[in-house]
Amino acid sequence: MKIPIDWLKEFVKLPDEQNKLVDIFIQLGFEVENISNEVIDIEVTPNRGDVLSIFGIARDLGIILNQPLSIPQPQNKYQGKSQILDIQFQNKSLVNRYAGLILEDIKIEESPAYICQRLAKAGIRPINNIVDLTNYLMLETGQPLHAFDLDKIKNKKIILRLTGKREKIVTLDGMERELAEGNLVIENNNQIIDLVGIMGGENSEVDKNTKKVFLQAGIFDEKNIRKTAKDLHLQTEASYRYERQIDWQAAIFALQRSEELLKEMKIGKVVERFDYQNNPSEIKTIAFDWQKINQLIGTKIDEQFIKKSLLASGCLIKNNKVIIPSHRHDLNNWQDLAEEVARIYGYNRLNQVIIEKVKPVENKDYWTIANLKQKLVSDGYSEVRTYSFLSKKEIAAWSQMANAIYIPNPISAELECLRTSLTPLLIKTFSRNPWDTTTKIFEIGNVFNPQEEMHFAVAGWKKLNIKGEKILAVTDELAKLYKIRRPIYYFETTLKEAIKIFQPLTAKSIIDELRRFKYQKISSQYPTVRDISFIIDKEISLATIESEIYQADKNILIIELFDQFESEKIGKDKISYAFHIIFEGNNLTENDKTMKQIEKILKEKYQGRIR
Amino acid sequence: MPGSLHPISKFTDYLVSLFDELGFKIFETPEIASEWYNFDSLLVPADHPARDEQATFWLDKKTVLRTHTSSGQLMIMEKNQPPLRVIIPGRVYRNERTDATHEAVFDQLEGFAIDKNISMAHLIGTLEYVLKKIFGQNLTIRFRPHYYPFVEPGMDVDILWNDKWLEVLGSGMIHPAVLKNMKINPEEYQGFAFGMGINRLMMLYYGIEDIRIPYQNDFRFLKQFRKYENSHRLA
Repeated sequence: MKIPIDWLKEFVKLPDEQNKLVDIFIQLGFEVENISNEVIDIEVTPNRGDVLSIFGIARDLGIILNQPLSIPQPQNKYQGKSQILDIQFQNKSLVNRYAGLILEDIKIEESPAYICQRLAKAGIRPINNIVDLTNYLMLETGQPLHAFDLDKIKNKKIILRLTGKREKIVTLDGMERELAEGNLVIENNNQIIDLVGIMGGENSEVDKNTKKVFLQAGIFDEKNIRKTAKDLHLQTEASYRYERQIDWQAAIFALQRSEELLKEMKIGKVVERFDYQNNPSEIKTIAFDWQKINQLIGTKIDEQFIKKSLLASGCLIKNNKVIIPSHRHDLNNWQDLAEEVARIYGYNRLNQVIIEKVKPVENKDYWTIANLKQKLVSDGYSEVRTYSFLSKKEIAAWSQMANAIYIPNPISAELECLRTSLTPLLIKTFSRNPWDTTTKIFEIGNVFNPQEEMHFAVAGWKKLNIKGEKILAVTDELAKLYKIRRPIYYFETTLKEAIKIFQPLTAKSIIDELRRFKYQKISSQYPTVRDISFIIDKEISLATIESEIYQADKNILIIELFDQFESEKIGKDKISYAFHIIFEGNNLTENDKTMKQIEKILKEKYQGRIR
Repeated sequence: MPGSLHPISKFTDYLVSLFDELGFKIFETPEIASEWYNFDSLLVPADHPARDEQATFWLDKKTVLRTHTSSGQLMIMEKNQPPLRVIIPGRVYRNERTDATHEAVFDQLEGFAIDKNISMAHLIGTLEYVLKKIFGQNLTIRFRPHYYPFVEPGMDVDILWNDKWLEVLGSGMIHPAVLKNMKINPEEYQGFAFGMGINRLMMLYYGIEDIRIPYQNDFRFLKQFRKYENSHRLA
């Protein structure tokens, strides 16, 4: 929500330093997405409909800034039924409050400059003085207003009712919309003139000739507005606020402010004020138990501080009961009060205690799986974690489509099914690493065939030496789909079975500490692979050799030892190694240079013999 | 040559072992969840704006791919009694276009603890302990109010990273109505709950710039996490 700072300053005195202001918003629970000298953009969570306005924000800031703010008492009397309009409510339970002004002597013009500027800063386009007034005051007070051209309301009879089947409205953005059943609308003269709480109708809208206006301030059932907005895929600033509930008092506040603004603009005469209070909101009270609050928060906050905080939030405390102000729809139980106290106190000041030690627990299932993974890793397997989604085509190339679960609303056709097994995705992984010739991989993860089940699968270019392993030939469907040019050995079974086969330990695994290293970004270009093979003293550690090779060129991303052997022929104290050296990119000249460099080091420093 | 554990597994194992030491029991719950477990039992009914916060894959009218590991809370408490400490690692799903910071498939770690005297102080203390174990004792942490329907008070946790505040997890005290759904008396028991995005933490830790990378399984990426690899690149 974008808040023009000069507008905010009309209600509350702000700290000079921008950083301090940001900190206060954060402390109150509003993330600051952006701040400039003119506008602050904050995130308001769905439970705080009361701050979806300049006034609401100012009031909340005022709690911390010690500048209490509350809606002023209305100067004019708003009460009773309308004599000018004949208003019928077919569903009173959905129209909690229906207040309004009837205005004459309206002159449609451009709004004063400051209104246009503030609307623009808040992201709303200025249109004319009456429409702008409704938007301006919605932003200022939180109460959405709607202006009808009174002369367009034939014989002044309006019915607020729910739609039946197949009704339509042309909204004031010019779009014809087919309504669902159960949407709240206003009917006049057998036409629908307003989509209540969301958008007005074109047939009743204010235009440059408008002389008389009916200004509506209604409080409607938030669930119905939300449902309608979803039915029509139409969300507006008004419906957004209605969904998050309006303050009972805001309706009259907005009408009062309307009269002030009209006076300022020197247009319009108020001929009638009315207010139908169909369902006054009940006053909420919560038992005041400051010790329970402290017990939940875990900090000994002073009883006086707790009282003062709740009073600063607009609550009253009488007879050990906390009376909740009408704008705080989020305060419903004592835990809500605890949060209110904690945020005013400041979350960063709260006590911190590590949860106390208890008897050790046994987590055999988890560690068994972790140990199985470790076993495979020691055996040279690299773990992969593949996507849960794949296309119809990919599943069909491998198994029964009948078992596949389709996603009704997938992100794309490529991802329209849940995986029924792991193997296709392991094969896909190889196709995505076409330069590789040595890697063998495994995955443990859920498949859906259609029951959800944990599976285990391995795959590699050489025999795996697992009983029951299979070969994917290059002529098989899946190999052709993924352009696999050499056979792949694979094995898949349920995790349960895999545990029986591999017999991992069940005791808690030894988990390595995390080690941060300078992770190297990989480019989308395929790497170049160069091989080197040499005979060297057995004594020289692999770690030393690897380190030397890596240091020869920063473009060496990975090195793979793919062969080693000893024999009488090459010498008793010697060993032969063969490495794949994987270079980022394909700068062949540079790679040649590096290979020569590596050979030189191996020969001169380590008396190695290049083969 | 030894192989490599996927960095998400490495990270998850490490986190899980920290919580295991604190007496948390590890549960794994299904990725397909009913609307009740994923939303309603956690006080996110269909007509509530909070439903909009999590883009969802609906498999049918009543079934989803879980949008958070919190879907396991009620499932577990139906079969267990407090006092209890629980950790749920696992894969979750969001129906969103993928880009460098958004994935449709990723991993979370849920945790909760219910007992007679668990308070927000324990939540803050435990989270601080875990974050500092990962990122070092000099880590600067910020706690601030945030709204999740199933906790009250609700809290987000940020860490200061490269001079910017980054959100790393959501948490709070389990809402009394959720405790009641668990058939636990909120006047007798209190609990805290939290959810962390494992990918996010892992990406921050290693400096990985794109959330899609871990699921692409490029071997040049995966093999950088081999056990004794990268001694030449240690930070």
